[in-house]
Amino acid sequence: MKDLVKKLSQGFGPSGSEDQIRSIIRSEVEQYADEIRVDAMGNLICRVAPKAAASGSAPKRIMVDAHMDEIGIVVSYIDDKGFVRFSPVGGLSPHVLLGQKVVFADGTVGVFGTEKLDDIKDLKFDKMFIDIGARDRAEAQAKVGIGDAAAMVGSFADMGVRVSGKAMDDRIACLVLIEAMRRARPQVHEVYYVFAVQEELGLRGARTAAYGINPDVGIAVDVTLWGDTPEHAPFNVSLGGGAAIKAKDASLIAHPAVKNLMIDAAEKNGIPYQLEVLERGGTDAGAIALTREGVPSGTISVPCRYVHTPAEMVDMGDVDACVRLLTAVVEELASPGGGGIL
Amino acid sequence: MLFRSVSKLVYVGADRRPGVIGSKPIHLLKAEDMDRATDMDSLYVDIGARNKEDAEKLVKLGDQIVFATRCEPLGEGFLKGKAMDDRVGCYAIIEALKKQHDFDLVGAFTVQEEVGLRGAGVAAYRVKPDLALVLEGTTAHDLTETPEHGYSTVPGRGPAIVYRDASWVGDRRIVDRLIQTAEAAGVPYQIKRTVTGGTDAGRIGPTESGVPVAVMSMPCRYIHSPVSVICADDLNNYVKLAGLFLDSLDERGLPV
Repeated sequence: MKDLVKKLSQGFGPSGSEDQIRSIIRSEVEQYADEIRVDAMGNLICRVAPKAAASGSAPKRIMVDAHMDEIGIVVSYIDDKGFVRFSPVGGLSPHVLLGQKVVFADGTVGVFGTEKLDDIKDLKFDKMFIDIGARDRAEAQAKVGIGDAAAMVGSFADMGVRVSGKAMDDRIACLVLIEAMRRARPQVHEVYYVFAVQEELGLRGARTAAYGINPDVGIAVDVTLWGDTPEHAPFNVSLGGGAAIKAKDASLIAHPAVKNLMIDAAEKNGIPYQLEVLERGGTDAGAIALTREGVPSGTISVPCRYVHTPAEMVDMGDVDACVRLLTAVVEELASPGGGGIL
Repeated sequence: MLFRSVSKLVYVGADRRPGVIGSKPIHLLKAEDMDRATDMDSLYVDIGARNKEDAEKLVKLGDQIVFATRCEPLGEGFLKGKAMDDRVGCYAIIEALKKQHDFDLVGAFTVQEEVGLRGAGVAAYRVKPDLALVLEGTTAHDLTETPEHGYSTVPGRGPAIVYRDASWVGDRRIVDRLIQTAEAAGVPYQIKRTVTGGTDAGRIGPTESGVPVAVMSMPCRYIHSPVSVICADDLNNYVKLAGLFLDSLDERGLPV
Protein backbone atom coordinates (compact mmCIF):
# COMPACT_ATOMS: atom_id res chain seq x y z
CA MET A 1 0.00 0.00 0.00
CA LYS A 2 2.91 2.37 0.67
CA ASP A 3 3.92 2.22 -2.99
CA LEU A 4 0.55 3.62 -3.96
CA VAL A 5 0.75 6.24 -1.17
CA LYS A 6 4.06 7.38 -2.62
CA LYS A 7 2.73 7.46 -6.18
CA LEU A 8 -0.34 9.49 -5.17
CA SER A 9 1.61 11.83 -2.89
CA GLN A 10 4.20 12.58 -5.56
CA GLY A 11 1.58 13.11 -8.28
CA PHE A 12 1.20 16.67 -9.59
CA GLY A 13 -2.08 18.51 -9.07
CA PRO A 14 -2.30 22.01 -7.58
CA SER A 15 -5.91 23.25 -7.39
CA GLY A 16 -7.14 24.03 -10.89
CA SER A 17 -4.37 21.98 -12.55
CA GLU A 18 -5.38 18.43 -11.67
CA ASP A 19 -4.87 16.75 -15.07
CA GLN A 20 -1.83 14.71 -14.08
CA ILE A 21 -3.08 13.41 -10.75
CA ARG A 22 -6.44 12.64 -12.36
CA SER A 23 -4.71 10.40 -14.92
CA ILE A 24 -2.77 8.63 -12.18
CA ILE A 25 -5.91 7.95 -10.14
CA ARG A 26 -7.91 7.01 -13.20
CA SER A 27 -5.43 4.29 -14.11
CA GLU A 28 -5.69 2.92 -10.56
CA VAL A 29 -9.48 2.82 -10.36
CA GLU A 30 -10.48 1.85 -13.90
CA GLN A 31 -10.52 -1.83 -12.99
CA TYR A 32 -12.96 -1.29 -10.08
CA ALA A 33 -15.46 1.13 -11.63
CA ASP A 34 -18.47 0.31 -13.79
CA GLU A 35 -18.50 3.79 -15.27
CA ILE A 36 -16.09 6.72 -15.14
CA ARG A 37 -16.77 10.30 -16.16
CA VAL A 38 -15.07 13.66 -15.81
CA ASP A 39 -17.40 16.61 -15.28
CA ALA A 40 -17.11 20.21 -16.46
CA MET A 41 -14.83 21.19 -13.60
CA GLY A 42 -12.59 18.16 -13.90
CA ASN A 43 -13.89 15.97 -11.08
CA LEU A 44 -13.23 12.26 -11.65
CA ILE A 45 -16.50 10.45 -10.91
CA CYS A 46 -16.45 6.65 -10.67
CA ARG A 47 -19.68 4.69 -10.34
CA VAL A 48 -19.71 1.22 -8.81
CA ALA A 49 -22.96 -0.62 -9.49
CA PRO A 50 -24.63 -2.81 -6.87
CA LYS A 51 -24.57 -6.58 -7.20
CA ALA A 52 -28.35 -6.61 -7.54
CA ALA A 53 -30.90 -3.82 -7.87
CA ALA A 54 -33.13 -3.29 -4.85
CA SER A 55 -36.43 -5.06 -5.35
CA GLY A 56 -39.12 -2.76 -6.60
CA SER A 57 -37.19 0.51 -6.40
CA ALA A 58 -34.35 2.33 -8.10
CA PRO A 59 -30.98 2.10 -6.37
CA LYS A 60 -30.06 5.01 -4.12
CA ARG A 61 -26.82 6.90 -4.64
CA ILE A 62 -23.98 7.02 -2.12
CA MET A 63 -21.34 9.69 -2.78
CA VAL A 64 -17.86 9.16 -1.36
CA ASP A 65 -15.41 12.02 -1.93
CA ALA A 66 -11.71 12.73 -1.55
CA HIS A 67 -10.16 15.78 -3.15
CA MET A 68 -7.22 15.24 -5.46
CA ASP A 69 -5.94 18.81 -5.63
CA GLU A 70 -3.08 20.06 -3.48
CA ILE A 71 -1.81 23.42 -2.30
CA GLY A 72 0.76 25.21 -4.43
CA ILE A 73 1.54 28.50 -6.11
CA VAL A 74 0.68 30.20 -9.38
CA VAL A 75 2.94 32.46 -11.44
CA SER A 76 1.79 36.08 -11.47
CA TYR A 77 4.74 37.95 -12.99
CA ILE A 78 8.17 37.40 -14.49
CA ASP A 79 10.68 40.24 -14.16
CA ASP A 80 13.41 41.22 -16.61
CA LYS A 81 16.04 39.26 -14.71
CA GLY A 82 13.92 36.11 -14.93
CA PHE A 83 12.66 36.02 -11.34
CA VAL A 84 9.14 34.70 -10.96
CA ARG A 85 6.57 36.31 -8.69
CA PHE A 86 3.69 34.20 -7.49
CA SER A 87 0.43 33.98 -5.59
CA PRO A 88 -0.50 31.16 -3.23
CA VAL A 89 -2.96 28.45 -4.24
CA GLY A 90 -4.81 27.32 -1.13
CA GLY A 91 -3.83 27.92 2.47
CA LEU A 92 -0.10 28.51 2.46
CA SER A 93 2.14 30.29 4.94
CA PRO A 94 5.06 32.25 3.46
CA HIS A 95 7.26 30.96 6.27
CA VAL A 96 6.71 27.38 5.16
CA LEU A 97 8.16 28.21 1.74
CA LEU A 98 11.61 29.37 2.85
CA GLY A 99 14.24 26.92 1.68
CA GLN A 100 11.72 24.89 -0.28
CA LYS A 101 11.33 23.97 -3.92
CA VAL A 102 8.36 23.88 -6.26
CA VAL A 103 7.85 21.92 -9.46
CA PHE A 104 5.75 22.85 -12.48
CA ALA A 105 3.66 20.46 -14.59
CA ASP A 106 6.49 19.98 -17.10
CA GLY A 107 9.09 19.26 -14.41
CA THR A 108 10.59 22.76 -14.23
CA VAL A 109 11.90 23.28 -10.71
CA GLY A 110 12.09 26.56 -8.80
CA VAL A 111 13.49 27.57 -5.41
CA PHE A 112 12.14 30.33 -3.19
CA GLY A 113 14.02 33.55 -2.50
CA THR A 114 13.15 36.68 -0.56
CA GLU A 115 13.85 40.37 -0.82
CA LYS A 116 15.91 41.90 1.98
CA LEU A 117 13.91 41.79 5.21
CA ASP A 118 14.66 43.72 8.40
CA ASP A 119 12.63 41.26 10.39
CA ILE A 120 11.51 37.76 9.46
CA LYS A 121 8.03 38.78 10.62
CA ASP A 122 7.90 40.99 7.51
CA LEU A 123 7.94 37.94 5.29
CA LYS A 124 4.96 38.17 2.95
CA PHE A 125 4.28 36.52 -0.39
CA ASP A 126 4.87 39.80 -2.20
CA LYS A 127 8.38 39.96 -0.76
CA MET A 128 9.15 36.53 -2.18
CA PHE A 129 10.01 35.18 -5.61
CA ILE A 130 10.83 31.92 -7.30
CA ASP A 131 14.19 31.40 -8.95
CA ILE A 132 13.92 28.86 -11.76
CA GLY A 133 17.56 29.24 -12.73
CA ALA A 134 16.79 31.51 -15.66
CA ARG A 135 19.27 34.28 -16.52
CA ASP A 136 16.71 36.68 -17.96
CA ARG A 137 13.05 37.13 -18.74
CA ALA A 138 13.18 35.40 -22.12
CA GLU A 139 14.84 32.33 -20.65
CA ALA A 140 12.25 32.24 -17.84
CA GLN A 141 9.34 32.72 -20.23
CA ALA A 142 10.53 29.76 -22.26
CA LYS A 143 9.89 27.62 -19.19
CA VAL A 144 6.92 29.15 -17.36
CA GLY A 145 4.08 31.56 -18.11
CA ILE A 146 1.74 33.70 -16.04
CA GLY A 147 -1.03 31.50 -14.70
CA ASP A 148 1.08 28.33 -14.58
CA ALA A 149 0.70 26.48 -11.30
CA ALA A 150 3.41 24.65 -9.38
CA ALA A 151 3.27 22.16 -6.52
CA MET A 152 5.56 21.86 -3.52
CA VAL A 153 8.47 19.46 -3.81
CA GLY A 154 8.47 17.10 -0.84
CA SER A 155 10.15 13.74 -1.04
CA PHE A 156 8.39 10.63 0.20
CA ALA A 157 9.85 9.12 3.38
CA ASP A 158 8.97 5.64 4.63
CA MET A 159 9.45 5.83 8.40
CA GLY A 160 8.02 2.41 9.17
CA VAL A 161 4.57 2.71 10.68
CA ARG A 162 4.47 6.31 9.58
CA VAL A 163 5.14 7.99 6.25
CA SER A 164 5.83 11.58 5.30
CA GLY A 165 5.60 13.55 2.08
CA LYS A 166 3.83 16.36 0.30
CA ALA A 167 0.10 16.41 -0.50
CA MET A 168 -0.89 13.73 2.00
CA ASP A 169 -3.73 16.24 2.16
CA ASP A 170 -5.60 14.73 0.47
CA ARG A 171 -3.91 11.98 -1.53
CA ILE A 172 -3.91 9.73 1.52
CA ALA A 173 -7.70 9.95 1.34
CA CYS A 174 -7.58 9.21 -2.40
CA LEU A 175 -5.80 6.02 -1.38
CA VAL A 176 -8.50 5.28 1.19
CA LEU A 177 -11.14 5.63 -1.54
CA ILE A 178 -9.22 3.45 -3.99
CA GLU A 179 -8.82 0.71 -1.36
CA ALA A 180 -12.50 0.93 -0.40
CA MET A 181 -13.45 0.66 -4.07
CA ARG A 182 -11.38 -2.50 -4.27
CA ARG A 183 -12.83 -4.03 -1.11
CA ALA A 184 -16.42 -2.88 -0.73
CA ARG A 185 -19.16 -4.91 -2.38
CA PRO A 186 -22.31 -2.76 -2.60
CA GLN A 187 -25.39 -4.97 -2.47
CA VAL A 188 -28.31 -2.89 -3.66
CA HIS A 189 -27.28 0.75 -3.94
CA GLU A 190 -24.87 2.60 -6.23
CA VAL A 191 -21.63 4.07 -4.95
CA TYR A 192 -20.06 7.12 -6.60
CA TYR A 193 -16.42 7.59 -5.72
CA VAL A 194 -15.48 11.18 -6.50
CA PHE A 195 -11.92 12.46 -6.76
CA ALA A 196 -12.70 16.14 -6.54
CA VAL A 197 -10.88 19.23 -7.80
CA GLN A 198 -10.29 22.60 -6.11
CA GLU A 199 -11.13 21.69 -2.52
CA GLU A 200 -8.30 23.91 -1.32
CA LEU A 201 -9.94 26.92 -2.99
CA GLY A 202 -13.22 26.48 -1.15
CA LEU A 203 -14.80 23.04 -1.70
CA ARG A 204 -15.52 23.96 -5.30
CA GLY A 205 -15.32 20.65 -7.13
CA ALA A 206 -17.41 18.66 -4.66
CA ARG A 207 -20.22 21.15 -5.06
CA THR A 208 -20.73 20.58 -8.80
CA ALA A 209 -20.00 16.85 -8.53
CA ALA A 210 -22.66 16.47 -5.85
CA TYR A 211 -25.17 18.41 -7.92
CA GLY A 212 -24.54 16.10 -10.87
CA ILE A 213 -24.72 12.89 -8.84
CA ASN A 214 -27.67 14.03 -6.69
CA PRO A 215 -26.67 11.64 -3.89
CA ASP A 216 -28.86 10.37 -1.05
CA VAL A 217 -25.95 10.36 1.39
CA GLY A 218 -22.45 11.87 1.27
CA ILE A 219 -19.16 10.94 2.89
CA ALA A 220 -15.96 12.91 2.52
CA VAL A 221 -12.57 11.53 3.45
CA ASP A 222 -9.98 14.16 4.26
CA VAL A 223 -7.06 14.73 6.58
CA THR A 224 -7.50 16.46 9.88
CA LEU A 225 -5.06 18.16 12.23
CA TRP A 226 -3.28 16.68 15.21
CA GLY A 227 -2.92 17.49 18.90
CA ASP A 228 -0.11 15.21 20.03
CA THR A 229 3.17 17.00 19.35
CA PRO A 230 5.08 19.01 21.99
CA GLU A 231 3.20 22.03 23.35
CA HIS A 232 0.53 21.73 20.68
CA ALA A 233 -2.84 23.40 21.10
CA PRO A 234 -5.32 20.97 22.66
CA PHE A 235 -7.01 18.85 20.00
CA ASN A 236 -8.52 15.43 20.55
CA VAL A 237 -6.84 13.69 17.61
CA SER A 238 -3.55 11.76 17.76
CA LEU A 239 -1.47 10.04 15.14
CA GLY A 240 -1.97 6.33 15.68
CA GLY A 241 -5.28 6.89 17.48
CA GLY A 242 -7.29 5.43 14.61
CA ALA A 243 -9.75 6.82 12.11
CA ALA A 244 -11.18 10.17 13.14
CA ILE A 245 -14.95 10.43 12.91
CA LYS A 246 -15.98 14.03 12.43
CA ALA A 247 -18.54 15.53 14.77
CA LYS A 248 -18.10 19.12 13.59
CA ASP A 249 -15.85 21.51 11.72
CA ALA A 250 -16.28 24.98 10.23
CA SER A 251 -18.06 23.61 7.15
CA LEU A 252 -20.26 20.89 8.61
CA ILE A 253 -22.00 19.47 11.60
CA ALA A 254 -21.98 15.80 10.72
CA HIS A 255 -25.47 14.44 10.20
CA PRO A 256 -26.14 12.50 13.42
CA ALA A 257 -27.32 9.40 11.57
CA VAL A 258 -24.16 9.37 9.42
CA LYS A 259 -21.89 9.98 12.38
CA ASN A 260 -23.58 7.26 14.43
CA LEU A 261 -23.41 4.83 11.53
CA MET A 262 -19.65 5.43 11.42
CA ILE A 263 -19.30 4.92 15.18
CA ASP A 264 -21.40 1.74 15.10
CA ALA A 265 -19.43 0.36 12.16
CA ALA A 266 -16.15 1.04 13.99
CA GLU A 267 -17.40 -0.59 17.20
CA LYS A 268 -18.83 -3.61 15.41
CA ASN A 269 -15.68 -4.26 13.39
CA GLY A 270 -13.17 -3.45 16.10
CA ILE A 271 -11.75 -0.52 14.15
CA PRO A 272 -9.86 2.03 16.29
CA TYR A 273 -11.46 5.46 16.04
CA GLN A 274 -11.45 8.86 17.70
CA LEU A 275 -14.07 11.60 17.60
CA GLU A 276 -13.09 14.89 16.08
CA VAL A 277 -14.23 18.49 16.57
CA LEU A 278 -12.17 20.80 14.37
CA GLU A 279 -12.57 24.49 15.09
CA ARG A 280 -11.22 25.80 11.81
CA GLY A 281 -11.22 24.30 8.36
CA GLY A 282 -13.75 22.26 6.47
CA THR A 283 -14.09 19.38 4.07
CA ASP A 284 -16.01 18.62 0.90
CA ALA A 285 -18.76 17.15 3.10
CA GLY A 286 -19.74 20.75 3.87
CA ALA A 287 -20.42 21.37 0.17
CA ILE A 288 -22.11 18.02 -0.40
CA ALA A 289 -24.42 18.52 2.59
CA LEU A 290 -25.89 21.73 1.15
CA THR A 291 -26.49 20.40 -2.36
CA ARG A 292 -29.99 20.78 -3.80
CA GLU A 293 -32.44 19.97 -0.98
CA GLY A 294 -29.67 18.85 1.38
CA VAL A 295 -27.74 15.59 1.70
CA PRO A 296 -27.05 13.79 5.02
CA SER A 297 -23.27 13.92 5.16
CA GLY A 298 -20.29 13.09 7.32
CA THR A 299 -16.51 12.92 7.19
CA ILE A 300 -13.92 10.29 7.98
CA SER A 301 -10.58 11.97 8.72
CA VAL A 302 -7.05 10.69 8.52
CA PRO A 303 -4.98 12.31 11.30
CA CYS A 304 -2.12 14.18 9.66
CA ARG A 305 0.70 16.22 11.17
CA TYR A 306 2.23 19.34 9.60
CA VAL A 307 -0.71 19.84 7.24
CA HIS A 308 -0.07 22.27 4.35
CA THR A 309 3.69 21.81 4.44
CA PRO A 310 5.83 19.70 2.07
CA ALA A 311 6.38 17.21 4.91
CA GLU A 312 2.96 16.05 6.03
CA MET A 313 2.95 12.87 8.11
CA VAL A 314 0.38 10.10 8.53
CA ASP A 315 0.30 6.80 10.39
CA MET A 316 -0.35 3.74 8.21
CA GLY A 317 -2.30 2.14 11.07
CA ASP A 318 -4.70 5.10 10.94
CA VAL A 319 -4.86 4.77 7.16
CA ASP A 320 -5.75 1.08 7.52
CA ALA A 321 -8.44 1.98 10.08
CA CYS A 322 -9.90 4.56 7.67
CA VAL A 323 -9.94 2.04 4.80
CA ARG A 324 -11.71 -0.54 6.95
CA LEU A 325 -14.13 2.02 8.33
CA LEU A 326 -15.03 3.45 4.92
CA THR A 327 -15.44 -0.07 3.50
CA ALA A 328 -17.73 -1.06 6.38
CA VAL A 329 -19.77 2.15 6.15
CA VAL A 330 -20.19 1.87 2.37
CA GLU A 331 -21.27 -1.78 2.64
CA GLU A 332 -23.72 -0.94 5.41
CA LEU A 333 -25.20 1.96 3.43
CA ALA A 334 -25.40 -0.12 0.24
CA SER A 335 -27.13 -3.01 2.00
CA PRO A 336 -30.92 -3.50 1.82
CA GLY A 337 -31.18 -1.77 5.21
CA GLY A 338 -29.41 1.30 3.81
CA GLY A 339 -27.57 1.77 7.10
CA GLY A 340 -30.84 3.08 8.51
CA ILE A 341 -30.40 6.19 6.35
CA LEU A 342 -31.32 5.25 2.78
CA MET B 1 -15.57 54.01 -0.61
CA LEU B 2 -17.21 57.25 0.40
CA PHE B 3 -14.31 58.44 2.50
CA ARG B 4 -12.53 59.57 -0.64
CA SER B 5 -15.62 61.27 -1.87
CA VAL B 6 -15.84 64.57 0.00
CA SER B 7 -17.31 67.35 -2.21
CA LYS B 8 -18.25 64.99 -5.03
CA LEU B 9 -21.43 65.68 -6.95
CA VAL B 10 -24.09 63.00 -6.76
CA TYR B 11 -27.62 62.27 -7.96
CA VAL B 12 -30.20 61.07 -5.46
CA GLY B 13 -33.13 58.84 -6.34
CA ALA B 14 -34.78 57.83 -9.58
CA ASP B 15 -35.40 61.47 -10.60
CA ARG B 16 -31.71 62.23 -10.19
CA ARG B 17 -31.92 65.08 -7.72
CA PRO B 18 -28.48 66.70 -7.50
CA GLY B 19 -26.56 66.64 -4.23
CA VAL B 20 -23.09 67.27 -2.88
CA ILE B 21 -21.22 65.06 -0.45
CA GLY B 22 -20.30 67.27 2.49
CA SER B 23 -18.20 66.97 5.60
CA LYS B 24 -16.46 69.15 8.13
CA PRO B 25 -14.24 71.74 6.34
CA ILE B 26 -10.51 71.37 6.68
CA HIS B 27 -10.34 74.53 8.85
CA LEU B 28 -12.32 72.78 11.57
CA LEU B 29 -10.51 69.43 11.49
CA LYS B 30 -8.34 68.49 14.45
CA ALA B 31 -4.67 68.02 13.62
CA GLU B 32 -4.82 64.29 14.19
CA ASP B 33 -7.71 63.96 11.75
CA MET B 34 -5.87 65.73 8.90
CA ASP B 35 -4.05 62.62 7.73
CA ARG B 36 -6.97 60.28 8.16
CA ALA B 37 -9.55 59.39 5.58
CA THR B 38 -12.94 60.69 6.62
CA ASP B 39 -15.11 57.85 7.80
CA MET B 40 -18.52 57.18 6.38
CA ASP B 41 -20.36 58.38 9.49
CA SER B 42 -18.86 61.88 9.11
CA LEU B 43 -20.13 62.34 5.57
CA TYR B 44 -23.55 63.44 4.39
CA VAL B 45 -25.27 64.37 1.15
CA ASP B 46 -26.40 67.98 0.94
CA ILE B 47 -29.38 68.25 -1.40
CA GLY B 48 -29.90 71.95 -0.80
CA ALA B 49 -32.75 71.67 1.68
CA ARG B 50 -33.32 74.11 4.53
CA ASN B 51 -34.46 71.56 7.05
CA LYS B 52 -35.56 67.96 7.56
CA GLU B 53 -39.11 68.67 6.51
CA ASP B 54 -38.02 70.19 3.19
CA ALA B 55 -35.55 67.37 2.60
CA GLU B 56 -38.20 64.72 3.14
CA LYS B 57 -40.27 66.29 0.37
CA LEU B 58 -37.37 65.83 -2.04
CA VAL B 59 -35.88 62.44 -1.16
CA LYS B 60 -36.85 59.48 0.96
CA LEU B 61 -35.07 56.79 2.93
CA GLY B 62 -33.83 54.02 0.66
CA ASP B 63 -33.27 56.27 -2.35
CA GLN B 64 -30.13 55.15 -4.11
CA ILE B 65 -27.39 57.67 -4.80
CA VAL B 66 -24.98 57.62 -7.74
CA PHE B 67 -21.96 59.71 -8.57
CA ALA B 68 -22.61 62.48 -11.09
CA THR B 69 -19.31 62.05 -12.92
CA ARG B 70 -19.61 62.75 -16.63
CA CYS B 71 -18.07 60.37 -19.11
CA GLU B 72 -15.65 62.32 -21.31
CA PRO B 73 -12.44 61.93 -23.26
CA LEU B 74 -9.35 62.61 -21.20
CA GLY B 75 -6.01 63.69 -22.61
CA GLU B 76 -4.60 61.58 -25.42
CA GLY B 77 -6.71 58.51 -25.99
CA PHE B 78 -8.18 58.02 -22.53
CA LEU B 79 -11.71 58.22 -21.15
CA LYS B 80 -12.87 59.13 -17.70
CA GLY B 81 -16.20 58.34 -16.12
CA LYS B 82 -18.00 56.54 -13.35
CA ALA B 83 -19.00 52.87 -13.36
CA MET B 84 -16.52 51.76 -16.01
CA ASP B 85 -16.65 48.64 -13.83
CA ASP B 86 -18.64 47.16 -15.41
CA ARG B 87 -20.44 49.19 -18.05
CA VAL B 88 -17.48 48.46 -20.35
CA GLY B 89 -18.59 44.82 -20.18
CA CYS B 90 -22.18 45.83 -20.88
CA TYR B 91 -20.94 47.75 -23.92
CA ALA B 92 -19.00 44.75 -25.22
CA ILE B 93 -22.09 42.54 -24.91
CA ILE B 94 -24.28 45.08 -26.71
CA GLU B 95 -21.77 45.12 -29.58
CA ALA B 96 -21.56 41.31 -29.59
CA LEU B 97 -25.33 40.90 -29.74
CA LYS B 98 -25.42 42.78 -33.06
CA LYS B 99 -23.99 39.73 -34.81
CA GLN B 100 -25.78 36.48 -35.59
CA HIS B 101 -23.92 33.34 -34.53
CA ASP B 102 -24.40 29.62 -35.15
CA PHE B 103 -25.07 29.08 -31.44
CA ASP B 104 -27.50 30.63 -28.99
CA LEU B 105 -25.77 33.69 -27.61
CA VAL B 106 -27.31 34.87 -24.36
CA GLY B 107 -26.16 38.28 -23.15
CA ALA B 108 -26.72 38.52 -19.42
CA PHE B 109 -26.63 42.03 -17.98
CA THR B 110 -26.60 40.99 -14.36
CA VAL B 111 -27.60 42.83 -11.21
CA GLN B 112 -25.96 43.11 -7.79
CA GLU B 113 -22.46 41.88 -8.62
CA GLU B 114 -20.99 44.53 -6.34
CA VAL B 115 -22.86 43.25 -3.31
CA GLY B 116 -21.73 39.65 -3.71
CA LEU B 117 -22.12 38.24 -7.23
CA ARG B 118 -25.82 37.85 -6.59
CA GLY B 119 -27.38 38.28 -10.01
CA ALA B 120 -25.08 36.02 -12.01
CA GLY B 121 -25.88 32.84 -10.10
CA VAL B 122 -29.59 32.98 -10.71
CA ALA B 123 -29.05 34.05 -14.33
CA ALA B 124 -26.73 31.09 -14.93
CA TYR B 125 -29.24 28.76 -13.33
CA ARG B 126 -31.87 30.00 -15.78
CA VAL B 127 -29.67 29.96 -18.89
CA LYS B 128 -27.76 26.74 -18.11
CA PRO B 129 -24.90 27.70 -20.46
CA ASP B 130 -22.47 25.25 -22.07
CA LEU B 131 -19.75 27.90 -21.84
CA ALA B 132 -19.60 31.35 -20.30
CA LEU B 133 -17.39 34.39 -20.78
CA VAL B 134 -17.49 37.06 -18.09
CA LEU B 135 -16.68 40.59 -19.30
CA GLU B 136 -15.43 42.65 -16.38
CA GLY B 137 -13.62 45.75 -15.34
CA THR B 138 -10.56 45.26 -13.17
CA THR B 139 -7.89 47.11 -11.26
CA ALA B 140 -5.06 48.85 -13.10
CA HIS B 141 -2.66 50.05 -10.51
CA ASP B 142 0.35 51.01 -12.61
CA LEU B 143 1.00 54.20 -10.67
CA THR B 144 2.58 55.40 -7.43
CA GLU B 145 4.88 53.18 -5.42
CA THR B 146 3.44 49.78 -6.25
CA PRO B 147 6.27 47.49 -7.41
CA GLU B 148 5.73 46.30 -10.95
CA HIS B 149 4.98 42.74 -9.90
CA GLY B 150 2.09 44.14 -7.88
CA TYR B 151 0.39 45.74 -10.91
CA SER B 152 -2.67 43.73 -11.73
CA THR B 153 -2.99 45.18 -15.22
CA VAL B 154 -1.54 48.10 -17.17
CA PRO B 155 -3.76 50.46 -19.21
CA GLY B 156 -2.80 50.58 -22.88
CA ARG B 157 -1.62 46.99 -23.10
CA GLY B 158 -4.98 45.62 -24.15
CA PRO B 159 -7.77 43.64 -22.52
CA ALA B 160 -6.69 41.45 -19.61
CA ILE B 161 -7.30 37.71 -19.80
CA VAL B 162 -7.77 36.34 -16.30
CA TYR B 163 -6.43 32.87 -15.52
CA ARG B 164 -7.81 32.85 -11.99
CA ASP B 165 -8.99 35.16 -9.25
CA ALA B 166 -10.17 34.78 -5.68
CA SER B 167 -13.58 33.55 -6.79
CA TRP B 168 -12.80 31.11 -9.58
CA VAL B 169 -10.18 29.36 -11.70
CA GLY B 170 -10.73 30.19 -15.37
CA ASP B 171 -11.30 27.17 -17.58
CA ARG B 172 -7.91 26.68 -19.21
CA ARG B 173 -9.46 25.75 -22.57
CA ILE B 174 -11.35 29.04 -22.74
CA VAL B 175 -8.33 31.02 -21.55
CA ASP B 176 -6.20 29.36 -24.23
CA ARG B 177 -8.81 30.08 -26.91
CA LEU B 178 -8.87 33.76 -25.92
CA ILE B 179 -5.08 33.92 -26.16
CA GLN B 180 -4.98 32.07 -29.48
CA THR B 181 -7.71 34.32 -30.88
CA ALA B 182 -5.91 37.49 -29.80
CA GLU B 183 -2.58 36.33 -31.20
CA ALA B 184 -4.04 35.17 -34.52
CA ALA B 185 -5.74 38.54 -35.04
CA GLY B 186 -2.90 40.65 -33.67
CA VAL B 187 -5.10 42.09 -30.92
CA PRO B 188 -2.99 43.26 -27.98
CA TYR B 189 -3.82 41.52 -24.71
CA GLN B 190 -2.31 41.06 -21.27
CA ILE B 191 -2.64 38.38 -18.65
CA LYS B 192 -3.91 39.74 -15.34
CA ARG B 193 -1.13 39.22 -12.81
CA THR B 194 -2.77 39.28 -9.44
CA VAL B 195 -5.37 36.78 -8.28
CA THR B 196 -7.27 39.05 -5.91
CA GLY B 197 -10.90 40.06 -6.30
CA GLY B 198 -13.90 38.11 -7.46
CA THR B 199 -16.17 38.17 -10.48
CA ASP B 200 -19.47 36.69 -11.58
CA ALA B 201 -17.47 33.65 -12.73
CA GLY B 202 -17.48 32.63 -9.08
CA ARG B 203 -21.24 32.11 -9.29
CA ILE B 204 -21.57 30.94 -12.89
CA GLY B 205 -18.85 28.29 -12.57
CA PRO B 206 -20.42 26.27 -9.73
CA THR B 207 -23.92 26.35 -11.24
CA GLU B 208 -25.52 22.90 -11.12
CA SER B 209 -22.97 20.39 -12.45
CA GLY B 210 -20.47 23.13 -13.28
CA VAL B 211 -20.10 25.58 -16.17
CA PRO B 212 -16.79 26.16 -17.99
CA VAL B 213 -16.17 29.87 -17.60
CA ALA B 214 -13.37 32.41 -18.01
CA VAL B 215 -13.03 36.13 -17.53
CA MET B 216 -11.79 38.95 -19.71
CA SER B 217 -11.29 42.26 -17.90
CA MET B 218 -10.86 45.86 -18.88
CA PRO B 219 -8.07 47.70 -17.01
CA CYS B 220 -9.66 50.57 -15.05
CA ARG B 221 -7.58 52.99 -13.01
CA TYR B 222 -9.21 54.22 -9.76
CA ILE B 223 -11.81 51.48 -9.91
CA HIS B 224 -14.48 51.69 -7.18
CA SER B 225 -14.10 55.43 -6.89
CA PRO B 226 -16.30 58.23 -8.27
CA VAL B 227 -14.17 58.33 -11.41
CA SER B 228 -12.29 55.70 -13.38
CA VAL B 229 -9.87 56.21 -16.24
CA ILE B 230 -9.60 53.78 -19.11
CA CYS B 231 -7.62 53.67 -22.35
CA ALA B 232 -9.78 54.00 -25.49
CA ASP B 233 -7.58 51.56 -27.43
CA ASP B 234 -8.05 49.00 -24.68
CA LEU B 235 -11.79 49.42 -24.92
CA ASN B 236 -11.79 48.92 -28.69
CA ASN B 237 -9.59 45.85 -28.37
CA TYR B 238 -11.72 44.51 -25.53
CA VAL B 239 -14.85 44.69 -27.65
CA LYS B 240 -12.95 43.32 -30.65
CA LEU B 241 -11.49 40.35 -28.79
CA ALA B 242 -14.87 39.46 -27.27
CA GLY B 243 -16.35 39.48 -30.78
CA LEU B 244 -13.50 37.45 -32.28
CA PHE B 245 -13.79 34.91 -29.47
CA LEU B 246 -17.46 34.42 -30.32
CA ASP B 247 -16.56 34.15 -34.03
CA SER B 248 -14.07 31.42 -33.12
CA LEU B 249 -16.91 29.41 -31.59
CA ASP B 250 -18.63 29.48 -35.01
CA GLU B 251 -15.46 28.57 -36.84
CA ARG B 252 -13.81 26.09 -34.49
CA GLY B 253 -16.60 25.03 -32.15
CA LEU B 254 -16.62 25.27 -28.39
CA PRO B 255 -13.24 24.63 -26.75
CA VAL B 256 -14.92 22.71 -23.94
